[in-house]
Amino acid sequence: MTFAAVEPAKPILFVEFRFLWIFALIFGVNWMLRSNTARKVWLLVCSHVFYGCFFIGNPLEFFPNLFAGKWSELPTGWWFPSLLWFSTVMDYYVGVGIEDAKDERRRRLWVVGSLAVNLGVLGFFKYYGFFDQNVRAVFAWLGLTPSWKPLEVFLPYGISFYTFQSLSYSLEVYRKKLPAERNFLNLAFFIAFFPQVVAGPIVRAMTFLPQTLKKVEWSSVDVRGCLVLFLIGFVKKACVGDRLAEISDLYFAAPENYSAYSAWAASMCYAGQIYCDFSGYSDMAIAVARLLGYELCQNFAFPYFSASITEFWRRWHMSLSSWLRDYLYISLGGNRGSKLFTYRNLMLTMVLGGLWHGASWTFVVWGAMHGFALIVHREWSRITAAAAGVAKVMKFIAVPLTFFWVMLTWVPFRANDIYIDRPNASDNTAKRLVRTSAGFQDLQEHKLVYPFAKSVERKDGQTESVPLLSHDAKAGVWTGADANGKPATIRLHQTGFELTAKVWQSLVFFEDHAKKNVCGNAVWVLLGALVFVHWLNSRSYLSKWWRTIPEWLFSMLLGAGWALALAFKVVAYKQFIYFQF
Amino acid sequence: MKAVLCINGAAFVAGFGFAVAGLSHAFEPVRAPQLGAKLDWLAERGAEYDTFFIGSSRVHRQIIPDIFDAEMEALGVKTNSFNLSGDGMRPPEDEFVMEHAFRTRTARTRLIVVECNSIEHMLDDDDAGTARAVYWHDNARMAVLWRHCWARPLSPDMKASRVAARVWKRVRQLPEHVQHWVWNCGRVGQGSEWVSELLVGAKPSEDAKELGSDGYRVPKTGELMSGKTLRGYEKDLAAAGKEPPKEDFEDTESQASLARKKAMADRLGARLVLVSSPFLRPAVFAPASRDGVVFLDYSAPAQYPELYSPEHRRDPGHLNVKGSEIYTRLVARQIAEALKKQP
Repeated sequence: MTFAAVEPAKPILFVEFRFLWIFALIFGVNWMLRSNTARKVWLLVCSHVFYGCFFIGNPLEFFPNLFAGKWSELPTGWWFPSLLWFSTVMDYYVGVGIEDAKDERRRRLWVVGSLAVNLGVLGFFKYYGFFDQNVRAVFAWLGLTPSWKPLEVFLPYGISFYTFQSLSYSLEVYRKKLPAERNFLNLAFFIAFFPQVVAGPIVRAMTFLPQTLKKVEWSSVDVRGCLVLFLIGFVKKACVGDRLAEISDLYFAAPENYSAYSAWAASMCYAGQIYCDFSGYSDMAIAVARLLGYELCQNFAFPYFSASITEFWRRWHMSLSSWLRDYLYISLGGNRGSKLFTYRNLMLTMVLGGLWHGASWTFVVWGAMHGFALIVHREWSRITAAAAGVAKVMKFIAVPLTFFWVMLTWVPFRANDIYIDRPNASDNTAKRLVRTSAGFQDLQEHKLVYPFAKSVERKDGQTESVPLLSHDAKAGVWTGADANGKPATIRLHQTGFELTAKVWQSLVFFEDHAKKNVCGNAVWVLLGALVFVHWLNSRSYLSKWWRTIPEWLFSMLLGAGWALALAFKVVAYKQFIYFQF
Repeated sequence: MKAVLCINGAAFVAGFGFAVAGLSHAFEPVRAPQLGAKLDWLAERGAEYDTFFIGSSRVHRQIIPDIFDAEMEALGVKTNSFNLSGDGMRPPEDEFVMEHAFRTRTARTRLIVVECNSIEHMLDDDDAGTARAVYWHDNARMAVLWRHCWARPLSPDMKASRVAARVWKRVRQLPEHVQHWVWNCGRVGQGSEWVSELLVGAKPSEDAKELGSDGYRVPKTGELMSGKTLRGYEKDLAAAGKEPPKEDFEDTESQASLARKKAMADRLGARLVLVSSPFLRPAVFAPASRDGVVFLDYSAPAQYPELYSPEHRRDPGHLNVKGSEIYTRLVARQIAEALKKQP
């Protein structure tokens, strides 16, 4: 059994000030280099250093420890960057292998090999814990005790994104839509390009690889657009998303303490938070890539204004939904069969899409709810196709109805299993915790309070990682000690499903679990203002005027915009939600 | 091209500057989590106290006001002290805290006990970018940091290469300080806090809950060293020998900082006590001028073996609670003696 003795390093976020310095260096050198190859080499090196720092932390501390062989002092998962290289090298040879294969059987072997290895690696890191947990649950139900010990497997940042990205390359080559890339540099650059490697957008090889062939001129970069897009992304994430998170975090930690009013407010805040968080990240990634001369695909198109769930999936996380459509739904047969066959494919695609987000049954439910809604919408469209009156009525209720359904689905997506420490405490001081890969984290302070293990020194001078908590699956209790040696007992308080049920009761049946409200009425003013600005933007009312003003005025307004953004940002950043997927 | 870049850059700075000026009027200054609660407490009840301890965790966690007051009373000096220290607080931050705590003070002040440290440019990794590091970056502190970069070293035998290395070490930290200064001027996060208050109401400060009426906090981490840490400490302690560490006056700006603290104490009619905390180091920062100042130096293990005994330390740099009690009593006794000698 392995334990997390040293916490994994923290990723560098686009919203951090240090990113500005890092990017200034990358940007400056990139445009100083004359040759396209030199630029790609530079960006590839920077991408791997950037991604590597997510795992190794401070290189000045990491490398001396590495060379001194102090393995126990290295951050957990320090070797994960090698997986990115592994994926790149493998898909390079797969691409060439497919193209050079003499017959269809060999071509298929190559692509199946790529799928098996890529999905195998992803599956191991992402689903091992989930699989193990469920097998144990089945064993416990049968009254058996499994003899094997569980492994603590950590999910490398970005693995879901770059695995899908590199798979898109092998699949396109297999489908003969793209020639195999024989220049390793181009392929490595495509897979590792730092703005999108951790949380997308999932760029297709077909759209990105051709960009690597031609030299980009600085004059073709829309600097004004990039600067505005980056600022918008920053505001979405740091000012809006993180602020809304305060309300949803409070509520989802203990929905039984709050009213139905709170359930509505918190669920809408979460819908706003996840949109601002993820689309903010995507905006910044796209802006950063454009400033370096590369175009990434659009990831969001005002999804909450969708008039149907089908439309929602054309506007939400577009790079993933189109990937699932092209490589999963169509590969399963798409709609080229009976109605039931199509519905099966829709449901399978959405359930697997749910599982892509995380290894938990709540994500399966989330995917299944979307699959179900897609099927219902398909049937509804067929039935009401000829009824003009229905269309008129639906025009008014379609958008709120779609949003309501999406908001309902966010509940299982957000719901965590909640644990408490000191379960027998009568003074209501027990901490609410969630289980992470490194231990139990306090829901209020977002800090790891009960790590699974601690690094201690043996008599021979070597350090070893000793477990601090042990799990009694039958009793459903973790016992042991916290990092300071104080005894700890941690019990599952409510599962994600129980939590989901409570929130749904409040959302659908307006059931108050308590009288307390998580926030005041000001939240509706804020949400209303956000919807209004969003609507203005969706009608392009805000997207033109700043292009027509003189440069000096634009610069001045941009400066003022940054000052306002800094004043209204949340000082303590929260990690991007999609970094965990 | 270059002219356009310059104009646009200037316009950006101007736009940013105008907005920052407006924001600094609209919002309250950034508040440090720990020290903000202490400063708020003092703003309300500062007149009750006549003695203040200012310094890093070596004061914050090691000088216990209750014990200090009891010891002083037993020695015939009545004090009511407050620990106005914070983890990682070093000059010029401590000057900022003193200025804010004593700016409008008129109440009787007997003693200001300050940890004797030179100016520090390096920010703690955990603090950088947070309100903890932002709040003290005002114009005066930026000026101190700037002057400190170029300050004349007071060690006569310092080689030119070492001087250059010191200058570079300080200058390369400047961008980070400029960032914090800009954030402080622009009231970083204060608009967001205002929105939060509108949404969920005012939140009770977590730190205020822990803060006692004397500003002291019991350390949360372990009480004793063990394993490699202990062995390393014992080795360093043995190597420290019997000689006290050499005095180092560092540079003109660090000495100027001490002089400003002295002036502040004089204005309040208080005695300034400079304390060099007990931990192992090759040289100890000392005041060049000791006129009207009490300087207590605990840097020599041979002179204060009980402060360096492993059973009184929770890590090589800090005393545990037992050690802190001994240390507080020692400081109280030595201050009382010094006051008797120079009333």
